[in-house]
Amino acid sequence: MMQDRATLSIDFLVGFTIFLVALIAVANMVPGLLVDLRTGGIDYDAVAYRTGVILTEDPGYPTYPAWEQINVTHKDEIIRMGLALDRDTPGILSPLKIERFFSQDFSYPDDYNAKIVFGEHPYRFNISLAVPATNTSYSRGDPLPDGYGYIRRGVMVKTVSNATVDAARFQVANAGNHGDNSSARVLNIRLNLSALRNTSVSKEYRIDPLHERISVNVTNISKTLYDAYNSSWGKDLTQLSSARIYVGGSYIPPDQQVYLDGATYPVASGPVENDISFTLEPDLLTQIADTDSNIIVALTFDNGIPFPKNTTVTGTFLYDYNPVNVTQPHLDPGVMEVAIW
Amino acid sequence: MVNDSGQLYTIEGLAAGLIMIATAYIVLGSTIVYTPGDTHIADMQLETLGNDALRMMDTPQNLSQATGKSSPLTTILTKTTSGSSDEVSFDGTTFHDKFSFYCNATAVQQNDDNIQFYANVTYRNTSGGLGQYFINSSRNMTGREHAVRVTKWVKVDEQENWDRPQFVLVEVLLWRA
Repeated sequence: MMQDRATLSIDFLVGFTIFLVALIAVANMVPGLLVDLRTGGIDYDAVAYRTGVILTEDPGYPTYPAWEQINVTHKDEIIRMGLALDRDTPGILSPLKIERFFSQDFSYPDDYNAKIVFGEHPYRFNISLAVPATNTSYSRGDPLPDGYGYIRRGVMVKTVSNATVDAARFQVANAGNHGDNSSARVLNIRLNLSALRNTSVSKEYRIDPLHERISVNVTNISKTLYDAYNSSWGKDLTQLSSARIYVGGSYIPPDQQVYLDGATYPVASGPVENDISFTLEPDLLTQIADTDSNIIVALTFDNGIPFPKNTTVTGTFLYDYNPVNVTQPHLDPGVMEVAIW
Repeated sequence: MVNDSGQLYTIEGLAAGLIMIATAYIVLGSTIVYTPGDTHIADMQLETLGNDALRMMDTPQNLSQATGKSSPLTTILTKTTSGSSDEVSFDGTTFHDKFSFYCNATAVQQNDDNIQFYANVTYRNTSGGLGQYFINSSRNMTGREHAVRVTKWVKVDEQENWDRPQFVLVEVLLWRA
């Protein structure tokens, strides 16, 4: 019955409500429909940009322990694989992180999609880094297709320290002398972690054995022997009898493995003609040393000749911030390219 | 029957209310797809690269430089005054070599990029006014380039032969040739 009080009938109210609910539901789907209409190029460029930022400006996660020191069997614990040295040093990359990132420990593309690219889309990509100063380059991923999202970033790559120890500096004056009945002699390579990890030195220039590889090359051992040795006694190769690690004065077994005369496999002892090289890995040192430990690698020389015990070099080499002793860490320019499709 | 007690009687009022609620619901529920620089991808890439190059040049490359508070860029910005004139020049060749290399080097592409630049530095002079010096450019500008601008504040002092310690603004225009 028509009347002039403008009240609503129940039928109309129900019908109108259903209509509005349906309208809201449909309208709410519109943005979702448009997502798939975005152009692919824009999307891939954005993903490439984001990936480039994470790679060059983020140190990754977790940080304690650092993701690059997590064993491959526990790689699921790695959340993000940023390459920056530290969160305070964006654009400066860690060599250890670079090495780990481009290693075969991670499978392409699944591990990288989960830890660096992110996103639900199964992206393919190519991530490349070149450091012209050291003539090194790294690459992971597929060859580039015709179209892809792209970003290029300029970076600085930290080159870690290393030391070349000229054994002639530690030559024993009377080695080979008939009257020299000394026992075996020792060349110590000493690292004082509390001095090296001095926080007044910025991280990008710091020698940090707990996070970076330490490389030592002892050279001229044969020359030292030859110069000092009395030729009438003939010439035997210098014997390295052991290479032991001491932390705070305590011997930490097993012995350090060293490379003798450029050999491809490391040993704990043996005859050496020219040089001995070894590396101290941060994985090892974090297990045996504290942040302020005094670490000594003791190279013991014992020629094994019954009389006399001819020895070659002795003394202590200090691995420190003196550029005369140690090639200091420095930064090399590099370029990183991220292509995603 | 209409009276002055303000009740909602009309269908118009109810419909308007529902429409307003529906509008608010749709707006708040909409997903905004936002991508950085999605309309200026090429400009964004150039700017990123230019900023990276300036940052790299102003980063001390070893402990010795860091201790001396110098960088390749501050070394380049060391003023050289010729004769008695006020003509000032910089090590523009080094700037050119480094900046071009940092911007154009590639890792996976077959060929290096072809990015050009024009650089100058703005400073405050002894009387408090602003001055500007030209540093270097890879080619002359015609004015028709589609260039982007990147800048960096660089600290210089007497060590670089500036009259007084100050932050100068290094400004670089970048474009693809």
